Amino acid sequence: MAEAPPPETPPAHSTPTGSTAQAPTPATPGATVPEPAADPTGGAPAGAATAEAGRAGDSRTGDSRTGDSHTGAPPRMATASSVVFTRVGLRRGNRAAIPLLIGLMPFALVVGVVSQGKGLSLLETLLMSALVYAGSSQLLALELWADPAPILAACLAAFAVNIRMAPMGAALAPWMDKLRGWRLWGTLGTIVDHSFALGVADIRSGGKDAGYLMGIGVVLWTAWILLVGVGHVMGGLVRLPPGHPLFFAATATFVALLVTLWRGLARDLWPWATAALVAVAALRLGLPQPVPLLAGALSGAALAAWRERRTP
Amino acid sequence: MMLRLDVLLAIIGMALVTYACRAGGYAVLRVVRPPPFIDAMLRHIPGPLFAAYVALALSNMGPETWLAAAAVVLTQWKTGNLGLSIVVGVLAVAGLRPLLGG
Repeated sequence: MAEAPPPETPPAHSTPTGSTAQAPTPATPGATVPEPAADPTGGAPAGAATAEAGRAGDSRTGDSRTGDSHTGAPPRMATASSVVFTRVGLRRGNRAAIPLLIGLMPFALVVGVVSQGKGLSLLETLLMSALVYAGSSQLLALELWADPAPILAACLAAFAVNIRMAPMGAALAPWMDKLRGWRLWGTLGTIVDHSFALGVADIRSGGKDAGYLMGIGVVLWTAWILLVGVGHVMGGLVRLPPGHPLFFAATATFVALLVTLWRGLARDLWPWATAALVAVAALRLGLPQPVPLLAGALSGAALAAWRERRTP
Repeated sequence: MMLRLDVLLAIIGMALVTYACRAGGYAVLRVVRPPPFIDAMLRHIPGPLFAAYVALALSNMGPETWLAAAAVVLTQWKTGNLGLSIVVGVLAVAGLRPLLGG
């Protein structure tokens, strides 16, 4: 599982080929999905419906009708099998990541400053940012930092904060199923909240180039290391007061990303409202993170799934 | 440029745990076919996840950030420009905070 380090592969080394599709998909051998993915609105954009069908689609085309679909080449949906990983996609991802840097910067500087304050050397700070590459968990671990380094506590902090990313890779399956080797495990290693949101939005609007995700990831990863390093070097110099408006950039980023994920009142209003209310209620009850976040996300997703499957 | 063994071990431990979180969900899904309901849930996770994220953040901040969030939504919706939306949000917080005493 940990065979792939965080990807350092620059876009230039990728081959612009569309031949990453593999037959038959290992994720869905022998699976039976009796009903097609329903489209509850009936009037959703074509791209959204296509992406919705992505996960269920592979097994649906092959299994539900004919029992002998595994003996020959199973019929595949054109939309699912045409996923590619190209240099063009990587470049597009690179460009899409640029605006995100505004939101990333204050956070990275803070992590660098805190890291310096806790006595980590520049090299240790850069190494942590490059290998862990997850700001919230780095910040939480640094809050717990001591001498000697709290190895177990740091690992637990990483797990508690980052377990939210486990469903992300799973939700990106329409693209991930078509990748192999470093493209698959490297892309998974670059997943962060921002690239996930942009990737899902791209899948839903009919995007077929999985290089987009890693293109975003490479820019954010590089910028993250550099900016955390800058924060460390500047040390106490950039000590912004806790409530400085610049810190709102991080929240603003996610608010804007929500807009890109919005698919209309009929589909999203109640699941999203449920997620928000459950999360805040769990926080008010004093439950520690990541419980409120996961409780909100999973309850909202469960409601959305229930509504989808109820609609014929 | 010092690199202490205990710090290095902590960093490697964090890195392994984090990578397992990133890749683990997908790796498990490749082997275990989830039931249809879980499958549908996974497809619907993105929106609710970020809605919960933003709600938690805004619930810890003052009313000026709620108005600023509305300004971000409006900007992103009308322009589709992510960078501009973020800048508008920061400026809105800076401008509104004196008025709302945040």
